[in-house]
Amino acid sequence: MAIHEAQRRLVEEYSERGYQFAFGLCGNSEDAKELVQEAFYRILRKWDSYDAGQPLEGWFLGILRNLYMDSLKRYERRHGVSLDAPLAGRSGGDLNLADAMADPNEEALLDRLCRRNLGARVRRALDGLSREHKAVLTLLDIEGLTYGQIGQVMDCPLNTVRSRVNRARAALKKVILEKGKEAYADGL
Amino acid sequence: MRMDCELAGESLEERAAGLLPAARAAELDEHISLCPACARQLRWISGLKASVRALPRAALPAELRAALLDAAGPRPGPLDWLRARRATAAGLGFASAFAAAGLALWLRAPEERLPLDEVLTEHGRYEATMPAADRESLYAGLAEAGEAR
Repeated sequence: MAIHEAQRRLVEEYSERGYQFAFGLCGNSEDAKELVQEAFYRILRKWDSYDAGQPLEGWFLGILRNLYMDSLKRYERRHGVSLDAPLAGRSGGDLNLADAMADPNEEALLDRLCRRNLGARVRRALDGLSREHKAVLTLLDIEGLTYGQIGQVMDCPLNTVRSRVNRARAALKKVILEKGKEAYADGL
Repeated sequence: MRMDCELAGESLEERAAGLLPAARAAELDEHISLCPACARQLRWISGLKASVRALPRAALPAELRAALLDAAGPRPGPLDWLRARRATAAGLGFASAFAAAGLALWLRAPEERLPLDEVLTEHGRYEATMPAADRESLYAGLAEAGEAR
């Protein structure tokens, strides 16, 4: 009975946080649900091996992260791509943000963005990013992790985190600018 | 050395996140004050960061929470303590009854014990030698008893 109580407490205290963390990593609800479910089932199966001296949250998030990394490796194998490949059509990786400076609509978009008036558009743009771009931005901007912590979660060195963040941000801006131009062209 | 746009561009993300060391941040700020392109880029990054941060957080689906709680086991209720006590008492009662019966059988005098093999052998011998009429009567009685049950 005591084991069930502790396990229920684990679910009650960490399932929300775990789901948000998984959502940030996966970028969609279905994968996040699957990841959280598998992490909890794994924890329940390995309950006897839990070291009570270790924080439960760290153990849980560690299992979540390992499952995510496994799924990422499976994805890379299945699709034959590396998640650190340069953006399509770009040789140098990062977008040059000055590229868009000549567009007269950019200033208006930037103003709306700074007034946090583009929530729905940012959400759609974020959802349209690649898996690793969305993951890195969510971990940085929403979860508030440092570059070092992101490196631990994604199992990559600091410089890789830095370049992934730059690419992800540039990709997000590109999508928002493109959608913004379409909206202006449509007279919206 | 004065910072150029390429070097500044690499540090803008960390500047917007407040993760840049003070000396490097001061150097970058000096460059930004003289470079409208990098200043605009920093505004974009800051605006995007703030917009992403302001997005509503994903809520745990209710069915997932319910499934996880189910997997974790039964919820302890207010009467569980009493039920546990009752279950323990009942278990002890049954165990005591079995133990008493076993002890009583074991304590019977050796000459009163009937080994199972002997009983079965004796039964087989009787059935083979009993009159046919008696056997039919016996089986008819057993069949009636079975139907009645």
